[in-house]
Amino acid sequence: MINPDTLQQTVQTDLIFSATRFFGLLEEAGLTPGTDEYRLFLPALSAGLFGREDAARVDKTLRLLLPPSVDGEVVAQALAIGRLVGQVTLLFDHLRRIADLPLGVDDYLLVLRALQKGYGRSTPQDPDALKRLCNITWANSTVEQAIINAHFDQLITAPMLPARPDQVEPTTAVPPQDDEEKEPEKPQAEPLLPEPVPQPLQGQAARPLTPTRTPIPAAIPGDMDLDAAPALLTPAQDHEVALQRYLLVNEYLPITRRQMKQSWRYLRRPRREGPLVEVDVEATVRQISQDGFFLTPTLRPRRVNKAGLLILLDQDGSMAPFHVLSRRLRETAVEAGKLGRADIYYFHDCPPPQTAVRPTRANPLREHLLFTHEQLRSARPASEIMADFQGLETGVLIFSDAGAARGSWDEARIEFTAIFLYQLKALGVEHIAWVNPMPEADWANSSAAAIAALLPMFSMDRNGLYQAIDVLRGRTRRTFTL
Amino acid sequence: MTTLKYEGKQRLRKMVNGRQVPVEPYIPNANLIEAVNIAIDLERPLLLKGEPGCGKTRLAKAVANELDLPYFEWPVKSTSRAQDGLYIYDTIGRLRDAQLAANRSLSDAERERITKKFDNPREYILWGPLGEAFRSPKRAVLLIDEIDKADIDFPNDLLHELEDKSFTVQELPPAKDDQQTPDADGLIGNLVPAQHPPIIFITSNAEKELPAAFLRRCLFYYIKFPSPKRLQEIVSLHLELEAADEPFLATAVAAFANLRLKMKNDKSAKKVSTSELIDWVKIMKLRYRQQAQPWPTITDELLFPSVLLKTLTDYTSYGPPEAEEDEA
Repeated sequence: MINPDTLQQTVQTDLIFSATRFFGLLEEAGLTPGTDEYRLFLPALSAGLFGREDAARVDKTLRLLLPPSVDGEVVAQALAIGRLVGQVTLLFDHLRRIADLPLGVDDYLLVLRALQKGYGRSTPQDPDALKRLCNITWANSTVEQAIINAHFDQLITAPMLPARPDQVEPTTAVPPQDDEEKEPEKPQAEPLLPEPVPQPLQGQAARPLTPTRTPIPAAIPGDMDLDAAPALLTPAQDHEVALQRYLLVNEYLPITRRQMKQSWRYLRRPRREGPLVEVDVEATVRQISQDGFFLTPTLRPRRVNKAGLLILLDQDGSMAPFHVLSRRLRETAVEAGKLGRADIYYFHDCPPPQTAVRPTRANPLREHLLFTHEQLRSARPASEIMADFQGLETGVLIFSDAGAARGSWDEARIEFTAIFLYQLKALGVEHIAWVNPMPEADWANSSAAAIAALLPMFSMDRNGLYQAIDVLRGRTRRTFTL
Repeated sequence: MTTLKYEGKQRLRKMVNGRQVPVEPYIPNANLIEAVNIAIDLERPLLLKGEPGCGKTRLAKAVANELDLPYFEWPVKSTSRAQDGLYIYDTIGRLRDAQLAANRSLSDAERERITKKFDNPREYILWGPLGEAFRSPKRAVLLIDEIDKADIDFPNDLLHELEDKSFTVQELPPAKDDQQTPDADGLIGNLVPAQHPPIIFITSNAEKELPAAFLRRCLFYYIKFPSPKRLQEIVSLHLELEAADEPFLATAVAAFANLRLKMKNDKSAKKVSTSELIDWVKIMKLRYRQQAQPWPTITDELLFPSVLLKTLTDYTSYGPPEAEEDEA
């Protein structure tokens, strides 16, 4: 019935070739595939070809592939379903690979299941049904919705289904037992137009029928400059997000806000303190066995976190690109840390010594200062700050590139830092950790290497922050050496 | 199982125990209705986000009302634990009963009653909303309200129960081998299987980010704040206004929308929301309409500002000019 060579001339695809071979073999074996077989087979083939070739050529080829006995309407429907599934697959693939959305097989099947149940079938009256379905199932925020919509508008041209969607199901990626659901099912979507072959919409007519493969800016490039706004997507009409002209997807940092919050909760120094509010089961049982009867439960105070955290943030200069991270450290520690006390102070390069104070016997090195304000105003000496942490077990976390960002070697900086660390130790701070926004490989030959020799220094990623917090809890053997 | 389909129908009364009970009206838009139906059909929780007052919380109740399903609500607090939603075991109560049963001074009947209760460990289970929804003989609607208020790991602790649609009561003995189907209490030994997967709505105010693993299992819908036209419909239905009241209502809603826009542009701490609009029109209805007076004219000067303005800053920015305090 078909000459594979003619087909090969029309469309150069292995898939078509295999299909013709397959049908050829069937015929050789004396089997004539009927309409039902084609119904199952065509959408899969059509979906598989989608996006690889010109849609019109795919249609033409598939028609060539079929014997004339197959009902034209069946073919049209099967092709349309195949195209729909193909488009969903293509979009799914793009969202995973290019937009970096965390989608899994489960999410993909969810959309197919919904399509099967009659949702997401766009009609000329309701052209956005499929887009809405993808939004509901794949997005978790309005930002993600905007990303999905942007990709959708680029990739999906005519997500229409033909007249009788209940007759033919998208059988490509769904298990065969779903066929049982076919009978009782009625199309739940709005009445579909009796239009067998999908037509591009008016608004979409200008777009080429083949999906354009113009690269969409990736949402989360891994190695992007930290202060550059990476994703410039044009979101769809809806929602507040769409009111902005572009989307800034800021989850390109080495550590997410959530991961930061999670790491803070490891910083725990629980002590029982305060009013008696919790039932002490063991003590109650002991009491009962002593008295022989139960009078009242024994209570004990609730556990509170007595961990103090002093975060020192290097501001401006080479740290300017990392202010996003500084801000995030500050916000997560103060908002969600549930710490006994968390204070933030600032410095530039290294905490400066008091210039107004003359060295005395009691204060021979002159105390170093830290600033209360981001703009490096309102200085306080370290001893005064540490006095705020009375009664807590306090760790100090320093966030600075230590000269690694510019690769400079600054003797004064190293010296001042060492003195400052020494003063902290003299004030009774036992646990100090340093996180560096630059990766460890870039510390060599800069002041960072020298400072990293003084105390535990980690690069600012999830693992690094965990390790730094381990130091602050006193869990690691490596403490600072002065 | 019969297919459930939510249509967003309006019904002002429903029959409960042979009595007509007023039902709170809810006006969803077509997309929201579709999202609800997808959630029902795919048996996935529907995560609802949106500004305060856009109707996140009330949707669940409206769906339960229309489909005539049992409704359970789980208002999450900062101290909520996932376990509380399943069940709480009243250990202290059981201990107290054990003591009482051993007490000689009780009457025989009393002691027998307590002993009987004590012998059945199930008596001490207090089911949480998720537990109730699982045990419900009819498919139930469950609202997990403001899930982001709890600890950041709270949603993760629910994953297993939502996925498996079953949980175990640790305090009970496990099932005997031959038991396959749930007994009268809906239990197979200590296992509580969901009789029907509940229709779950989850609302979030985005106070904290939710874990990715949890989000992946939810459907997501962002409810937009109602447009003035829709607000007018909502108020009119809530307060049972008549057609003659519409012109007044339109001006009131316009004034409200205007105020809301101003607050938004000023980045005010709190924008006026739907429930405040309803209260505002309601007080005017009480003060004017039901006193057989015509509706007041809405001008730039807000009537009953205390209903709409809740902070001192808002009051000074949008409220009436400072009235002279009466000299007492």
